[in-house]
Amino acid sequence: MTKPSKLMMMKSATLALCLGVAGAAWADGAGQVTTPADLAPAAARSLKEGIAAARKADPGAFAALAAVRGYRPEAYMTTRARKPNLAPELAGLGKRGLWPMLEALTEGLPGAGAVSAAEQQAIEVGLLDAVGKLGDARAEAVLAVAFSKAGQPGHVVATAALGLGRLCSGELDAALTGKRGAFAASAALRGVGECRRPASIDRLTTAVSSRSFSDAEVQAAAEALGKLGGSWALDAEVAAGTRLRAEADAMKAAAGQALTALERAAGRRAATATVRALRHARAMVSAK
Amino acid sequence: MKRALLTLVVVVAGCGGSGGGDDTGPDPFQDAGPEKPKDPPAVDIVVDANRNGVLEPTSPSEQADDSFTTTSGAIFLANADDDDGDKKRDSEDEIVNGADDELDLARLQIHPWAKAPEGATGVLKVDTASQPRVRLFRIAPEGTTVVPTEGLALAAADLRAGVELGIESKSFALPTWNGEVTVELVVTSAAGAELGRDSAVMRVAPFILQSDVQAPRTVYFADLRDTGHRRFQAQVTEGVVAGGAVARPIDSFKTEYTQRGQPDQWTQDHWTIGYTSMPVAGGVQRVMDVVLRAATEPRPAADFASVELLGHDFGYIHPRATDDPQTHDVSMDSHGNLDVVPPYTLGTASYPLGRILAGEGEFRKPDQTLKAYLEAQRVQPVININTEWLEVGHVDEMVSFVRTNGNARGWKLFVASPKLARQMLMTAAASNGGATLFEGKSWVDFRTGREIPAMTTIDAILADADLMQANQEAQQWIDDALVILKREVGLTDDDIVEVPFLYKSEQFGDGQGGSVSLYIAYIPGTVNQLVVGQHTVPPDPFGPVINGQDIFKADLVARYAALGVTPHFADAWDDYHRLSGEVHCGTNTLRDAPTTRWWELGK
Repeated sequence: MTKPSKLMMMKSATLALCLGVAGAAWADGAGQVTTPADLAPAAARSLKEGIAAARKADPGAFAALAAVRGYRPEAYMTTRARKPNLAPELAGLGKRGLWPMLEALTEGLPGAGAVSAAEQQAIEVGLLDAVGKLGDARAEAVLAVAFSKAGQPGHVVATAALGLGRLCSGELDAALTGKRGAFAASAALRGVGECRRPASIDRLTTAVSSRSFSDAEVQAAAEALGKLGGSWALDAEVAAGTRLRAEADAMKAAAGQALTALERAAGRRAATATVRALRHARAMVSAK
Repeated sequence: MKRALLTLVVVVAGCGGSGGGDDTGPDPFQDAGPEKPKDPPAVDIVVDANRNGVLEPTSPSEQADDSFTTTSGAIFLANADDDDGDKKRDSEDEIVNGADDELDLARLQIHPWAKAPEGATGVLKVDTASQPRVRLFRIAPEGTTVVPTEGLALAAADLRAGVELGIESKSFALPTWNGEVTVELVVTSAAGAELGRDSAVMRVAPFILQSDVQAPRTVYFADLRDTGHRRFQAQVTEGVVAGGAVARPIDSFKTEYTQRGQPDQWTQDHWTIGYTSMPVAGGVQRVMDVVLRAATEPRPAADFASVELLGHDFGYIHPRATDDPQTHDVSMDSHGNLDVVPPYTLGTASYPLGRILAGEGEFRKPDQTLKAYLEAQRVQPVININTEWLEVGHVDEMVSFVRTNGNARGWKLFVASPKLARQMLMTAAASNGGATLFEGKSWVDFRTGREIPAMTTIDAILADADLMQANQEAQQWIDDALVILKREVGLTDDDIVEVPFLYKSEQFGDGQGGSVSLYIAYIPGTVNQLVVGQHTVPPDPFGPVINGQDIFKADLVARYAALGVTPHFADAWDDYHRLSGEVHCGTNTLRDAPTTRWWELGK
């Protein structure tokens, strides 16, 4: 787990707080991170049609989403962490959850009512993460707007980036240049780490060599390289038959080289968390 | 510190040839044999500086009362228990709450000065910093009364007769008060000339946490009343009894213990039982158990500590700074995040009472007030390991300490090992990749919603790149903690037992403007176990069943047996595991205090 710099977090926290307070007043709007109107017309039309078709084919999926309770105090206060968390329930929806969750991200989670800022955040993160993990390209338009729309809270940007990464989406490229700021760049770097392809290592290498990184960006890039070259995940893909051993070995090696460049770029100025992120990534790409 | 300001008066007072009132002379501790009596000075406060539980004015070792060392210095208790059953700590009122409470007072005495001049007066007071922290009682045949710590006026008659006193502390040592008290007596003549003075140093006994290798007495856990939980309770009880302790279910549905009408089964998180002690007659250690309530947000179930544990010789404390969650991570305040490394020596450093082990991180921290409070006790310096990568954020999610055979320490660190779990699964996959885990189990639906089947196979786990990725990351964090523990404790690989299970990661808003992956046990976290002697109660891992045998359970049974440890597995799935906890989280243990005397540690 690595994090953005404290300064960035403070700025983002301020933003999140403002939005969180506003969000708490939304009735039946929790989870809404964008609206169909934010989408390109064709994407909005596809979304609308997709939701309508899914509702007709599998109304139970929408009902199941509406029945999710992980954000309700009577549910999450029974857990040890006592934090709102929708992940297990949303993962349990499986692929049939795609359209209901996209609807919730653009219209709000049905039945949620007024929720606290923390609960709203959990709903948004939960929905974006669960949609992202489905790896379904039909979610890209919503995730892209969630990621890039101006004024989005940091947790939305960060989680949407992970989902876009799963889709190996080019929507992250602009942020990788740093033009949208260090927070979005860090989110995009982590997103690229979710796209388990050799080309992702090239994208990260290019980004690293193109400009000077902040500590937070170094951390994010290190995490991403640890993911892309992490031996356990690569072994899993080989075991699953989705990747050849030779390609897995090549990815490990490439990630290791990119990490060397990143370590050089980080130099001696790196903060503790950055040093740790680099060390973790190195261990992961070096492990047999 | 004794200074005779008027030698003539001192001599007249009968100090004889011993040079009473003179703090020079031979070291009374040079000879380990019986002490030769030494007349006390005229103006003399007598405290139990030699720690044998008896006030001995003529004992040279008793007269060495001006500092607190490994061999001398008087001790008194924070009177945190409730001897009269009024559900208030005895230190909260200004009376002595019966004969039992009187035993909690350390005695001190103004030694009779038979020849105190007519018109002499004395003032007994406590140092300024300690005045609001302690309470003095005057003990007399007609009754015991509280006296002012800022100045007790004494008449010549009092000085001649002597005065018996008792002292209690209203708190343990604090970051702002080191717990050392100087009691001073100044005697002046009618004309205002100082006739003599004496002072004595006393120290409030620290609050001490217990490590899990201490012998268990009572194990507490919630009673959730339903059949499944009763089965869990029976399984836990089996281990508890085998470990020589008593099981004590808590009626968690008692209205005052519920929140939103629901019970709170996370008994480990609500409080921790430690102790405090002082020497009494015969040099015996008098122990008061003390429950430390967690500095979490209001949790009614934690009231058990003040409602049912607080009592005779069972104190209660609740140090915390603020309930403002912005200043700390409330989950990290729970006492599953507070453990004790058992006693050890590393080089010249010795920790006979062990060291406190707490979890925190760079971005998530528990209430720092508690940490400072525990450090202020001085006898168990805190070791921090990073637990902010964990969803719950507790040390008990990755380590435990168990009394074992086979190594010099007599205990070992049990540590979570995703690496070992993966290796075991890979070995098993060679011929049994289809073997199932979590058979018949489901993930949480918070009791009333849908059941989500949890059953999976070895092959499915090993082919899950996300899961494997998460576990390789988790292993890095665990390895980081091991680096710290090896450095601070001097652990070798032989002192460490790897406990195989896997974590999973979930995405959370971090409350600071971003989102973050946090980890929680996927396969039940068997390191999160109740430890009772050389018996443990880990959660049933519901691991892969091959040839009718759960290979994870079989591995633990075999490896633990080699260490003289017997695991008693409990099915913690429904009420703990799928709600982000395990057996340790749901239990809490009262243990025997160690025989080590904290006052001899030089800390």
